[in-house]
Amino acid sequence: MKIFRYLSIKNKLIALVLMVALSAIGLGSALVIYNDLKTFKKDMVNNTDTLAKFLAEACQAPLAFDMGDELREELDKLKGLPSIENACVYNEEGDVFAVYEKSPGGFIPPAIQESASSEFKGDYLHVFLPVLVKNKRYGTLYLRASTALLDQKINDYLKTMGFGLIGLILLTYLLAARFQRGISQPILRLARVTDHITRDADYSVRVKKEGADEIGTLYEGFNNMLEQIHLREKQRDEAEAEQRRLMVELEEKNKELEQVVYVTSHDLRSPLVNIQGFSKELGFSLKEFASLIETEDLPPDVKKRFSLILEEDIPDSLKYILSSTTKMDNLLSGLLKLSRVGRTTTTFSNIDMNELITEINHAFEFQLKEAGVEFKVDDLPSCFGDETQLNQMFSNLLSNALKYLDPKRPGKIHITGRQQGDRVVYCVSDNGTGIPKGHQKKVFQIFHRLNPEDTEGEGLGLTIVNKIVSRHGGKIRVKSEPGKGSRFFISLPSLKSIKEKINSPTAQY
Amino acid sequence: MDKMKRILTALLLLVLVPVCSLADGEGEQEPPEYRVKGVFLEKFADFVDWPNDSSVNNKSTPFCICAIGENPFFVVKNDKNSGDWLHLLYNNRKIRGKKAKIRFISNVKDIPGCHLLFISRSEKKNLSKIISTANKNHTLTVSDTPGFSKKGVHINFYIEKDYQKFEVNETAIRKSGFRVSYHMLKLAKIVFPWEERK
Repeated sequence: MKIFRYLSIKNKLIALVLMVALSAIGLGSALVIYNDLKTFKKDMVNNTDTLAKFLAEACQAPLAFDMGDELREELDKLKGLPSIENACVYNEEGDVFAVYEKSPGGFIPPAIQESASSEFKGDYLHVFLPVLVKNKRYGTLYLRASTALLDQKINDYLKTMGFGLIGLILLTYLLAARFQRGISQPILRLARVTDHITRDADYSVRVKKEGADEIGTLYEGFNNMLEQIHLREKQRDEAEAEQRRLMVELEEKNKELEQVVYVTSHDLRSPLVNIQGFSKELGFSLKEFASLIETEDLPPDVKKRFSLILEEDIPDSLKYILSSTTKMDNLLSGLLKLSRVGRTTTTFSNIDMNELITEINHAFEFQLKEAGVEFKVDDLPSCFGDETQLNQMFSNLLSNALKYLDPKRPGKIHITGRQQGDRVVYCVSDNGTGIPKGHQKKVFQIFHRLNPEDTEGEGLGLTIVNKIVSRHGGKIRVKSEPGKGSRFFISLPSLKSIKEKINSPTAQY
Repeated sequence: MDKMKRILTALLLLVLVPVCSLADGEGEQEPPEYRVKGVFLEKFADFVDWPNDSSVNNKSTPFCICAIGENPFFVVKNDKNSGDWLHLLYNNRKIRGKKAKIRFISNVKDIPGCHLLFISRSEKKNLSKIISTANKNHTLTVSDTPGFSKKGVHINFYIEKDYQKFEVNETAIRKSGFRVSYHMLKLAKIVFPWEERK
């Protein structure tokens, strides 16, 4: 049965039909042959018995009247029957009275059997029949018939049956091979279509339905399935195209925006520098003008009024102009910095974070000492990124922590880091003023400042941090409690994960 | 060819018969003529059917064999004291399922009651009377005298080439209402009554 599993569906069907047909034909033939063989033997017995009856009747009178010649004449009539080899007639006393031999020699009459009997023994059928006249026994007839003819007949019969069976099997095979197509062809066609679909990913093909049987239903279901897949694929393709288009659009918009930010902040700086310069110039001119007025002899009340204008009103205005321009200059340089983060190319490499933090520590040494902060750094795992940008990122975070220290208690800043799966998570925590709940989500927004009155800055520090993190494919989140401090968690790709991504063909960096 | 076969069978019999007859404890001898004839009488009774109204078909009555005229059945020829073959053969034997009865008669009047009548050579003169009486009484007539058959005796013995044979007057036997087995007729010489008139 194992072989059966490896046959094609076509051969399976043929084998099935052949097996069923062979079993049926085989069983039927066996029964017929068995029956026929039985009938052949029975026929021979019947024929020989009948012959014996006729012969016995013919023997009655010669036996009764003791006429041996006449009896032998009767027996000689057996010559026309090739199957009868020998015959013998016993008289009333059981003695041999007459003998018949088809071919003379060698026949020894068997011991008499009084009752009628016919039995196959050796290659012969032995028949004994009493010769009765008016129910009186006059003697016994014995016939010996050769079974050679029967054997020949059986032989011929078996040969004919054999050829017939072979013919039937051949016919069955031809019919099965012809008619199995009705079942196997649709399945094979379906298999071919499936093969085509998997090879060419072509969902537009359909199988033509034939017939209303289960295979027809299967075809219909298959077509429906293909229809659905085709439809979904079309929808997915459309959605993907739309997404791509939107992405390109978004990217262009972003670039445009960065360009605008860059250009405006750059271009706005030159008039600002002019304003600054000329404001300073105006200050010098004012001082000159004030000393000139001093030397001039003017009425005291006029002098007093001049002095008020020249020494209070105008310097005040100039002071405001200057502070505003400085503020604007800071804003513009912040914007430039931000746009630069988006515009500069990033160079990724393996970063030894401990080294990087030591560098930053050096840069901030003075500020930290001045603020009296306890600065602690754990042993940090390395990560994969742009050194300059990561330096900027940690500097901004450290600067922020310093900026928002709580004056009521000694400051503490702690940097930790750990490997988490294929990422590295760093944490910059402080015990500063903390961020109120409502502001925690806004801290990364551009120009957002916690308390603009008390602190310096443009509200760009964390925006830049956020931008750097996202350019690294990382994530940043903040946990903070006002009055207790803040913790910034930065998750970045580890060296291990980047290596894997580089090896895969879809890596994009 | 026929002769060859006969010789062969004779040879075979020569081998076989001594074996068979050893049981008898007697030497090889041709059986006496009238013993054979006596035996044949019973066989005739088996191969002939009597007319339907004959007492042969009545099981309770014995089968009566009669011999009319000079008795030829004595074991020793003409010796009345030697006993006769008919009695010897049929004393304890049944014929057609009936007890056998032997009667030796001399008068035509004694014929009624006889089922089978052996007519002795001596009755040549009374033959026609005996035949007519026998026919009236459904009696099968047997004789062993040449010419009797033609005169109307149903069955007549004769010797041919040392073999005991018999002839049948088929016309007479049919006329008397008897039916003879085809197989017996096949063995018999058929006698036609018109041959007599020639």
